[in-house]
Amino acid sequence: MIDSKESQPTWAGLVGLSFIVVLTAFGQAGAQDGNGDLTGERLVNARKEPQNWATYFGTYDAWRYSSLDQIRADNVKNLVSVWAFQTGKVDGGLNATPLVVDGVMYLIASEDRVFALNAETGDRMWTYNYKFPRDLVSPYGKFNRGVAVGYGLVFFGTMDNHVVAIDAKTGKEVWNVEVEDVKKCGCNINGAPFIVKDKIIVGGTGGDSAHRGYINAFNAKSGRLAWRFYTIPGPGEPGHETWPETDMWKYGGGSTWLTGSYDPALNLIYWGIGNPSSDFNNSVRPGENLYTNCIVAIDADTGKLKWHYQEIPHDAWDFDSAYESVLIDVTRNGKSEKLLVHPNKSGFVWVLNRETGKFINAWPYVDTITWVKSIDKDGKLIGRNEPEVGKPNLICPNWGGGRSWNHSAYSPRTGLWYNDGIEWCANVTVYPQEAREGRSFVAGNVDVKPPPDGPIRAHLDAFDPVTGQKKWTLPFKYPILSSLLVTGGDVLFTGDVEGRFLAFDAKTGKQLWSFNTGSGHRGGPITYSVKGRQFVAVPSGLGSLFVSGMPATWPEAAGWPGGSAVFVFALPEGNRK
Amino acid sequence: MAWRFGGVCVRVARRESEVTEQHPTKSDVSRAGISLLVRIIALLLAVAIGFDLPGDKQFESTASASSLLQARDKLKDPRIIAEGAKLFAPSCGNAYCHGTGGVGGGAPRLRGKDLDAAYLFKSISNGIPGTPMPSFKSELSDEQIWTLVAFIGSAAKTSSAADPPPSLPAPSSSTAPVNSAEPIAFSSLVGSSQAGKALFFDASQPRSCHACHSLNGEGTPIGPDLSAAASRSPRDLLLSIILARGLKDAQYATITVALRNGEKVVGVKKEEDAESLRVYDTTELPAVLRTLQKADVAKVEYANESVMPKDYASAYTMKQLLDLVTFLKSSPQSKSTLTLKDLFQ
Repeated sequence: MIDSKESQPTWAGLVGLSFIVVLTAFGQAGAQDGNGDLTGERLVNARKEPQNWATYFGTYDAWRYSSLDQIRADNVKNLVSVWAFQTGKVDGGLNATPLVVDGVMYLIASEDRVFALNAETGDRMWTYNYKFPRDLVSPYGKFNRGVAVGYGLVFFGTMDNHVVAIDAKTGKEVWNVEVEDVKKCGCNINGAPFIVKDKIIVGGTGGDSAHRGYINAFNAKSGRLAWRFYTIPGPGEPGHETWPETDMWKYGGGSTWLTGSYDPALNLIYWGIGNPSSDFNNSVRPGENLYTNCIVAIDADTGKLKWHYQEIPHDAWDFDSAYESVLIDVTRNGKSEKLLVHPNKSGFVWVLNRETGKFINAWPYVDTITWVKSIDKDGKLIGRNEPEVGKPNLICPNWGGGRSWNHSAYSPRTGLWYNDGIEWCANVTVYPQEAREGRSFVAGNVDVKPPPDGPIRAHLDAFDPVTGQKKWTLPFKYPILSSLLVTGGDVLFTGDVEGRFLAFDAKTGKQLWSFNTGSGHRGGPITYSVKGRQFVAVPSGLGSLFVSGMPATWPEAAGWPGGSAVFVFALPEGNRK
Repeated sequence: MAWRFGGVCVRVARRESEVTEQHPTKSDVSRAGISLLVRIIALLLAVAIGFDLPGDKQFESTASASSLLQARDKLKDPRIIAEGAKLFAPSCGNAYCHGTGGVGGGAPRLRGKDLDAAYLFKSISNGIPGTPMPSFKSELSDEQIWTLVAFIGSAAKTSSAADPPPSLPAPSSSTAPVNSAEPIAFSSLVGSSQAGKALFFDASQPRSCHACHSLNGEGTPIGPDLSAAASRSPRDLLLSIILARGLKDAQYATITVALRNGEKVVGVKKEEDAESLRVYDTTELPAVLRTLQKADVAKVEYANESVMPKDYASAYTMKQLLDLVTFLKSSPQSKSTLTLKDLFQ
């Protein structure tokens, strides 16, 4: 059913690897040229450079897939630890996905500390410590999910809501722009920016504060604002009528706290927009509340809306649409279709036509769903079960989501989409609350409860991304909080919250290997190669809001150690095949 | 949003007056108790810990050992704990913050940790820099904060989920309308400080004042700080907004840096050292603080004028200009009342 566009591992691939060997044989000069030649154009073809992990999701389509196949299901058991890097501060854990470009790893850790490392040896090249105000109250925490690299620069958002570009060779600051005053807006940036053409595209938090969300595009070289897309239309703009005639549109949330996808052929950026605020009390904002809980398709040059699809109109559950948009082409009924596969916090995956925004399917990735009875063939929500003021209501999945923000993976070789799920519920109590600019605007409390049919539990699954048919499933005691990675060697990697880095057979789900890194996994594992040797790197370091909340449900989690380190693995030298 | 790190904690302003209104009898009783409690605890802290007095500063120290014991007892008073439990749910208990009853949220667990009462009071009142914990000083009275301290230190469960706090008045707009729909007689046009503040800090307008000016610690100090603007005349303030006036301070002169790659950067210089020049590039707003290596610079020129846009006379209505000047003339101590006439005198 799924058209496998990626070819099987071939001699061409091996020749490609040899070519990399030649390229990097020039030595450190190659590794330290500062990536000045990594441009938006080159990123369009990132899949043709499997030696690199050059953008947050690996490629613009958010597959989290690499065609590297030196490490395979039949030899992954031989992996050995090659090097590790300690960032030095465990507060906030390590939530990032590292990038690797031409033999250099770029890593961001909590408090916006950025490191450049030799990706082969782990040797540190430079460190950049972001200076933030001593009295900073960072509204959404200290952690950071990743950097963007290109044009000789490294880009990131900060805990006090700036976007910063530093020199990729030296780690020295080149430009710095304050997006909005953190003290006023109650918002900041902890998602990874990404480069599209000559621009750096970045979202922000603020969806649980009284704030109006947006996506910003800055000129990568100068930092000048190129366009801004507000996720809530202002007066006179189409969609403004989906908000009440009060100031609520100014405070309605719609944050853009993760990272978008991009289709170069259509020149469209896809972004999942966050929940409306107040999160749980939707009576203060009658209407559909566009473009909250939407997938938006935006012209990459102008920032103008091409289409939108709202998954959950008038949200009352904090089920924002912020997770990754996975771009997959499939052949159905003899026709090739460009699709967008989108997991939502609510436990459903939405499948849309990404040229038009037309609804194709919505299917559940968890078993326990009570917030809605069903979603019909046109995408309409049937039987909404909303929490109400003064009436606690059991809602499944729990507000934390059918899964957390850590990302899924898609393999064109197996045609399967890999994802994790959590079976849990919550008693939701709604409180009336007044909107005050930049202040928290949640209006509800949540009491975690097990699902009606048994204890709280989690699972790792492989699905047909369009129909939702389950190919295999593996039970887990605790939620998976690490992103997934799948490779051309048919290995699926992820980490668990107790610290084990795990490898599975992508075809069957059979566990093949594990390594205990000593602290739980909350970031994004990647793979890359240097001088023909394939490496797998995984951030280790438990931390984040989800983790802080875990001891209430799993008391033993209170004793799990924090951490902030990258572990790197490869096959032993001389045992690469 | 998903399990992002703990957001700013919920602030449901439940001022004493509202509580009193809704529960006159019960509240009156506990208010009296809390007031005493505050005094005693304040003393306890001042004497025993050397802590800044967080409560009634006028209270004179005459406490005896028995009153210190009494203060500890007050923190254990079930009525005060119950008040705190009720206030905790909407103020601190949302899932992004400390969770229901102080357990299970994204922010640290509070219950059952035997936290020091003085530390709790200070943290709630002032916030904790470097974390998402905000200050509640402007939202909650000292008495209310003490009830939270009492609840957090207790073993009490939070108030029943089936018993949410009393309803609050419907949310109202926090900013006054900028333009009145009613036609207003010229002479009666009165500036609104609140509307002016909204304009000054309007986040959706990249060219709004805060993008380049700071005021009482808020905004961006690229151009002159305006905290002392209240001492200037309304006319002077109006003219500064709408006219390109001569520079008062050479620090804000327009700098044009020509780079060797052909690019030109126009803005305001922030600082320079031996190797680099740091310039606020104001070509687009928000301004970009650019670090330009001197090796890359071909030419630097200064012009004796400011980079402030010169079209605010057409960008704002007369009423909006009046609102802005009214806001600049107001201070926390005194609200200024200005009419259109004042702008021309």
